[in-house]
Order: sequence, then C-alpha cells, then structure tokens
Amino acid sequence: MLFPTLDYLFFLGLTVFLYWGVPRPYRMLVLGLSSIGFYASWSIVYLPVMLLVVGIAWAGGLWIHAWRRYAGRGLRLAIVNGLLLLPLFFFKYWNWIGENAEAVAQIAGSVLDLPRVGLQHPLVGISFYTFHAIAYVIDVHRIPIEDDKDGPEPDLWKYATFQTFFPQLVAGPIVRKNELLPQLNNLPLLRQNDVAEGLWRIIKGMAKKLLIADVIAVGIVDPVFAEPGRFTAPEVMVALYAYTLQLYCDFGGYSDIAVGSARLFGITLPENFRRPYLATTVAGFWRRWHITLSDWVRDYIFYPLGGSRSPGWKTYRNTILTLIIIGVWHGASWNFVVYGLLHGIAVSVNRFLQRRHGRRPEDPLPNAGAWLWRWALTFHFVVLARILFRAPDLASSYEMLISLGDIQPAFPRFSPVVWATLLVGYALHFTPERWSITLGSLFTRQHPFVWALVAAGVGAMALLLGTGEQLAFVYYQF
Amino acid sequence: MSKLHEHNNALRQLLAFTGGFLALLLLPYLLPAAQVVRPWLPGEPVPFVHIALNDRKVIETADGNLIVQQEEGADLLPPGTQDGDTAATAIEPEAFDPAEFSAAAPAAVESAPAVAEVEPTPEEEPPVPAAAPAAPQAAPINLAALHEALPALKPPPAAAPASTAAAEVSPTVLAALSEAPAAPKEPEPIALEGLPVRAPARPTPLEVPAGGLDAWFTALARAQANEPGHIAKAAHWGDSTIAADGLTKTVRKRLTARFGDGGPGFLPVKVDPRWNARPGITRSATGDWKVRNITFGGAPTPYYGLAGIVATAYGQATSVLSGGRKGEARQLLHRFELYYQAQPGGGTVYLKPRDVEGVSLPTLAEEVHDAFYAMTVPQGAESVTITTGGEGPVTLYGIVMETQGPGVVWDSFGVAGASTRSMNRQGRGHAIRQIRRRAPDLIVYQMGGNELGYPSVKTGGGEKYKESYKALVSRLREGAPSASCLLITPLDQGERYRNTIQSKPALDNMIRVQRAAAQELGCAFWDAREAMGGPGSMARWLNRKLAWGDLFHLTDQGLTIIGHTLADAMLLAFDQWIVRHPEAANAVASPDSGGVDGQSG
Repeated sequence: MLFPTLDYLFFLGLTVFLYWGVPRPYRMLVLGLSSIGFYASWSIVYLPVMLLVVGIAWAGGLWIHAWRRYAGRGLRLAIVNGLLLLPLFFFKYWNWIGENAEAVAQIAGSVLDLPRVGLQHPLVGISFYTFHAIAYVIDVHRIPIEDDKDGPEPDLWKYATFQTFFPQLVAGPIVRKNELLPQLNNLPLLRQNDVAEGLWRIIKGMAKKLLIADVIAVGIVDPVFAEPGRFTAPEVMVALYAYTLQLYCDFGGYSDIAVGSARLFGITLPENFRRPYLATTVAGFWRRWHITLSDWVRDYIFYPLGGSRSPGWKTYRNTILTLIIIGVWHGASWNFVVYGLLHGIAVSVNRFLQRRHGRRPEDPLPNAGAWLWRWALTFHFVVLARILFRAPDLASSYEMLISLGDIQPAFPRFSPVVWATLLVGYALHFTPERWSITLGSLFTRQHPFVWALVAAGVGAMALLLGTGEQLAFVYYQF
Repeated sequence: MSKLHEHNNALRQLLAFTGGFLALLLLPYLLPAAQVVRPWLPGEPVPFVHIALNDRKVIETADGNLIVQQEEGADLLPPGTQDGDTAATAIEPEAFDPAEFSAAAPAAVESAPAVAEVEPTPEEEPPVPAAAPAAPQAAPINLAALHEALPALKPPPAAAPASTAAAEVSPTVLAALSEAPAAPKEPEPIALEGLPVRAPARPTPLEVPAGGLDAWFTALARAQANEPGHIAKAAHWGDSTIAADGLTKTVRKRLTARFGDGGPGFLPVKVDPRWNARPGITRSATGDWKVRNITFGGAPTPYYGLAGIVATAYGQATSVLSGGRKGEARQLLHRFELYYQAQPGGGTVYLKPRDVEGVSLPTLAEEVHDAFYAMTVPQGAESVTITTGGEGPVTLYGIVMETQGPGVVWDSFGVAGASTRSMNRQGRGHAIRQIRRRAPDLIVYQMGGNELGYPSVKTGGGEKYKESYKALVSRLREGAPSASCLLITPLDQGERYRNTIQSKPALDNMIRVQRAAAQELGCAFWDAREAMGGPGSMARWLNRKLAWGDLFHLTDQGLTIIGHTLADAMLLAFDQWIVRHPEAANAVASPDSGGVDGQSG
C-alpha cells in the first residue's frame, strides 16, 4: 500500500478513528494489527520474515538483558545480531555474493555453481526493519548492568507494535528504543497542534511526491537513465540534477507523510531531512540527509570502531568503512560500494581539512563567497555521485559519466511542465527554512475546512498535473 | 486547558477535517465537468478493497459488476526480445520453421489483459473499431515445401567485380512478371498465422493491394538470387520513431541477414544526435559544421537533402564515416556517392575512401543546384573521409556507402519532430531529384506522430489531412515512380488520465485516414499501433519498460520488438509473394549498366 493513494488515506483514516474510538487498553491492539495488515498489504508471503525478525529481536533483547551480569555479553549480542542479519543477508545480499564468488572462482580456474534466491517481488523495507531491530538489541545491551529501571520490552505485542508501527515500517525514519517505546508505553493523548501539524506534513509529503518527484521522474529521469546514449551531455546533466531533486522529494515526501501520520496518533517520530542540498561539506550533507540512518551508523558502527578519537589514519579508515556500509545498506551492488567509498573519501577530506584549519563543522563561514564555492563543490559532488545510486551497474554508470563529456551547445529537450517542476522544486528547497515554518504555522491556524480544501487541492492537482501513476517510493526497495 | 480538553479539541478538528475532506471528495461526483478530479471512477481499482487480493485488482465495470484482474507482471517479455542482437539471431530461423508457423497463436495475444482500456460508460461513444485488415485470411501455404524450395533458388555466390547497380527493376524480371499469371484483383492475401508472436506486440500482417509491393519484392528476389551487384534499396522517412534507427535497424538486420548486406546506405555527413542517430556506424565530424534539418529549418534554401538533414561546413572541416563492424574489422564498402550542393561561392570538398586516392570536387556554381559524385572502389574501403577546403561554404546532403552486393540497404530518414508540415519545407523539385538519384525500390513513409493535434485529425473528418498526406506521398513517389510504397501508421500514443493511460483519441481517426490514403494511392499499409497491441497498448509497453514516460516513444528495446514485428510481416509477405511468382526468383537479371562513376548534377 503506497502512501500517496486513496488506499492509504482510507486505511489511515480508518485506523486513526478506530484507534481513538476504542477504549485505551485496546489502542495498542489496533496499532499492532493495523501495522501488520499494512505490511501484509505489500505481500503476505513476506510477512513471516518480518515477524521472525520481530521475534528474534524481542527474545534476544530479553535474553541479553537477563544474562547481563554473566560473562559472554559480547558473544550473546553477536549471536542475536547475527540471527537478525540472516534474513537480510539471505534475501538481499546472497545473490550478489554468490555472483561474485562464482566470478572469483572462474578467475581462479574452478567452477562454482551456487544456488540463487528467487523473489517474485522485492522484500519491502527489510533493511529498515532489520536496522531498527539491531538498534533495539544494541540499546538493550548497552543498558548499564546496575540499571534495574531500564530494560527490554517484556510485552511481545507492544514490542511488535514498536517495531512494526506502520508509518515508519518500510522506509523509516529508523526509530530507537528510547524514541518510540516510551510513547507507546504512555500512549499520549493528542496535543494542541498534533492534528494540524500532522495533516500539514502529510499534505506536504504528498505534494513533494506526486507533484514534484513523480513528474520529474517520468519526464526526465527515467527516459535519460534508460538510454543515456540518446541524450546530449546537457540533458544527461539536467537528468542528474533532476534525479537529485527527485530522490529528495521522494524520500523526503515519504518521511513527511510518515511523521505526519504518526502525529495523528499523538506520536512523534524523529526528523529525517534538513535541507540536505544546502550543505557546504559532504560530512554536513550526511548530517542533513537520511539523518536517522546517519545517526544509526555513527552510534552503532563508527563509534564502536573508535570514531574520530582514533589515532591518525584510523579515523579516516573508520569514516570510509562507515560510509561504505551506508552505501551497501542501500543495495547489493558494486555501485553502492563505490558510492559509499567516494562519500567516505570526501568526508575524510572534510575531516582532514577541518583538523588542519582547526575549524569545527558548525562554525560559520566568513563570507558568502566562501559559502558559495563550498556549497557548489559539495552539491555537484552529491549530484555526480548519484549516477552510481541510480544506474543499474558500474558499466552503465561509466557510460553515463562518459556521455557527460560530449558537450553539445543545445538546449535540453524536456517539456515546459517538467522544466517548471524542476525549477520550482529546487526553488522550494533553497528558500529559507523560516518560510516553510511560517507557511506551516499559517496552515495550522486555519479552520479544519481550510485544511480539507488544501488537501483536496493537492489531490486534484495530482490528478490534473501529476503522472497519474502510482510510482513506488524509491526507498521502499531498500 | 487540561490535556483531555486539548485532546478532545484536536479530535473535533480531526472530525471537521475529515468531514470537509470527504465532502470535497464527493463534490466532483455532483459536477459532471469535474469528472477528471473524481477520486475514483468505475473501471479503476476499487480503493482499499483490491488490496485484500495480492497481485490482483478489483475493478468495477460500468454495469456495476466487480471483476478481479491479475496485474500484469514485468516478466512477460520473452527472453528473445530482451536484446536486439540476440533477438535477431534467435528469431531468424523461426521465419522458416514450419512448426513455428503453425504454432503461432495470435489468439493468445488477443486475450492479453488490457489494463489501460477503460470500459466505456453508457454515456460515452463506443470506440471506433479499428478497421479490419483489408487482406482476407489466406489459405494455409505449404511452408515446408517453401522452406525446401527457397535454398534451391539461390545460385552459387558470384565472384563478380564491384559494380554499381541501378535501382530500376530489371527488364528480365519485369518480363518474367508480365508473363506470370494475372495478378490478383483483390488485395494480396497475407496469412496471419504465419507470424510469430512477440509479446507484447501483436502479429500484424501487411495490407498489400494487388501488385503493391511487386517492385520491392522483385528487388529482394534479385538479391536473394545473388544477382551480382544488385542492391535492393528501401528509403524510410519518419519522425522520432525512426530518427534513432531503433525500428529501422532491426528491419535492416533481419533483411540483410537473409538477403545480404548492402551496406549502411545513405547517411548525412554530420548530424545533431538530438534529432537523428544511427547506432552501429561511425560518423566522426570535426570543424565548423552547421547542421540544419526539416524540423527546425534555417537553411538558406529549401534544400534539405534526401534525409531532411543538410550540413554546411563554413571552414575547414572533416567527417569520417564507416560502416558496421565485421568482427575485428569494419565492413568493406565498395561504392560511395556524395550528394552535395553546388552554389555561388562554394568551396571545395575532398572525398577520400581509405587507402584509395581521393578526389577534389569544386562546389562553386553560378546558381544553387544539386550535384552528385559517385565512385567505385573495387578492393573496398573501410571508411571514407570528407574534408572541406575552407575557401567557401560547402553544403552536403549526405553520402551513399554501399557494399558490392548483392544485398539490401534500408535507409533511415527519420528526423525527430518531423511531420507532413515539416516535410513540405523541402523544395519539391529538390526532393524529387534527390529521390530520383537514390532510386529506391521501396518508399516507406511513417509519419503522423506529431500530427495528432492537427484540427483536421483531432476534431474533423480528416479529409484535409488526407489530402496533404497523399500529396506528400505522391511527391516522394514522383522521384521513384516504379518503386513500391508502404505507408506505416504512428505507434500508439498515450495520454494520462488519472490512474490510467489511454490512447490519444485522434489516433483512431489518423489510422483510418492513413489506411484510406494507402488504398487510394495503391500503397501497402501497416498498422503499427495494431502491432503494438491496438488501442491502450502504450500503457502495457510502459509497464514492461518498453516505452518512455512521455507515452510517445518506445525504448530501443521496444522499437526492436516493433522492428521484428514489421520484419516478420515483410518476410512473410515476401515468402507468400514468391510462391505466387516463382519466375521472379528464377529470373536473374544481367548486371545493371547504371551508376557510372563520376560527377553529375
């Protein structure tokens, strides 16, 4: 069930009213059942995989906590995490590893014929819920031994609801134990602006997805990436800018809908984006892009590796390794390995220069010129690296990169509507953040009928101007 | 304010919003003009309900019945159609496999799910049914016998010296034809069941009037009979469907695989890849070239050359052209012919096939006129270099590059954005002279994709459009009066309407008009939209990633499938024709005497 559809709107409305309509003790039941139903709507065949991960994380958390005073804590953590990673490894990475193993064997002169995993559909959201589960288990493991107040969630249903809470289930934000479980324990009532702000975020997310991301995907990105050889270098470049915006509006739109939907239950989810393309360093970009994933790898991979306090080159090693893991998290392909490697190198360069100049990431830049060249460099690094993100393999990425060199002084051939969408999309991204906040607060001050009018207006525009297709969110595949 | 009070207020807001939103959702159902923004219409998946059935859609039909439809999978494409080269290799034997012929099952294609087709609502006009192919179903042909007979028709390859070949139908063959049994009065029957199925395409026969393709099939028969030096030439004009050579490339591959490769054919010396492309050949241009085409105009004279693309060098400039690869080496080319413009102040152009002495051609003349220079290279050359001297502008329409034959050349004259209107940008006499010089055996005209907005087609009866269309085709034929003629409709074009993609309504009218024009002109006809699967097929091709999101163009893979479908129809029609005209296959003409080397114009 895709978010920007009537299906989801019916589902959300039904669930919200059922949730608030039943007595408080039953609300958790409503949330849990609706979340499982939401996932089953994608493919009921894969539901057991998700429930298996839920079961392992819940039982593993209890086991780790119960045995916390005994030796072998690290081993127990490794066992549970290993079990959690098995489905991800099997369903997402096995084929890729198998192909590479066979290729290596062939080079070595022997024949290796490994079985493959055949999936009718991609296993929606497996990376998200696996990382969610691992974060929970590690958080339980990190509870101080002497702390008897904090602990794992003993109630399986409540834990399952925490893990499968439908707004964040298939594409995040990746939620931590201390961010969502306390809210589920209390099941807060609605606050003053929950409904208004929740609806605003949903409408904003729908608009980003349907009126910007899908339009430029269909009008620019998909045709160019399908056959880059047919397009001139300026057109390929425009397609890269377009894809960069599409990805943000797609994933950012999804996150908006997720955060907004949760607010209608009185639940607050963490933010995932903060105008990422305004970053002036690649390191800064990762503090603004997919924030919950960046925080996850920082807390559960980068810091355990030694973080930035490691001596000398080890900091850079840790950085590059962390970014490669982020890359591979997105998919089983050498493209993502190279993508992560490039970003890792770029972040390491940022870190090296900051150390050398004694400047901290948050320090203000001296003037507009200093901001401009840093921004331009960072933005174009991100844009060019997106080739690896979108192209199916390294060969296609190379072909696309080469086609950029064939400069033709010709205006790119895209329709006026698509051009307008691209320009408006970027303009909105680069407007001051306070404008967006002002607009949001203006919306919340209106009568609910006005909210309805705005929502219906976006829906009507989607039908009139949008692609008319139900294009899946890009990040569902991860 | 207490928390509970705050909560109740928020709930009231939520209720008010929901009520208002539902009212606004229902409002368009009260206003007929607002149909396009109705959240749901009959024929679309019933919201929420269809989710209960994985991979299936619950759809309410116009009469209120709920039906369950299996969603189309993306894996329906047969492996053979995944890649043009692979498909060509894999498909070729099929054309001669009697078992395949009898196993082909068009009925299976007919029953393919048509997701994009919306059931007509009672108040809607029923869609105009596509006119049935003019050709009645033929009696089954003894293809096994044909299969056995065809190889015998081929004499041993002749080690003839390189020779140019005129496109005129050989008198020997014409004589043989004239003695043949009387041509059928009715359109020539084409057996549909002889066509292989290439999902999602639909086998679609050529609609051939009596004798409509005789000249072309005769030329093919001569190539098949290995007539020394004979090259069967087709010239295919079109818009962006043809501009990237996807469709034509496939037809060319199929025909050259069977009848021999006549070479790349006619190529503009420099193109702008946005408007024209020809993968597989090398065309490397440097220097100050200015390229103009019929879509955008801009040339100082209404002379845009045979391909509708004219390149002018304003200084020293070079263009190196070569044919396709044959293993490690390039294809050897034996005949070159430069089509250029003689003009006041014109500079010199130097034409030099590789490893052969070149020739300098002055293009200076008192007034603008077309000029040609042909040269034969008996030992063959892998490439040709065209260099301009820089002392004056040099305007080139293109160059013919052909092998020593026998074989087939399928010239691709597509320009993105082209239309009947832009084709009229060409000077009439110029166009006729260019075609006359090229002397094709088959004129293929596939236009209309950019003409659906013409008022005559969109809202009128199409008469005005038909007249301009016929006039254009007649002009092309004036250049090659003995050539056969094949008119091809545009591919399906979709437009987004809510959650569906529907065919542009004007296409029905366009196809009806073009079919009528073909009948009136005595041209063969091929319904390319029917080959895609008929109305609504663009949505199915898009679902299989065989079409672009603009709902206008097919991907290279999609064009390859359509190209195979056309080649299937062409080859089947030829096979059936040659059974009725065995004398054509046996009558090998003497080498033509035309095409003498040197300058003319």
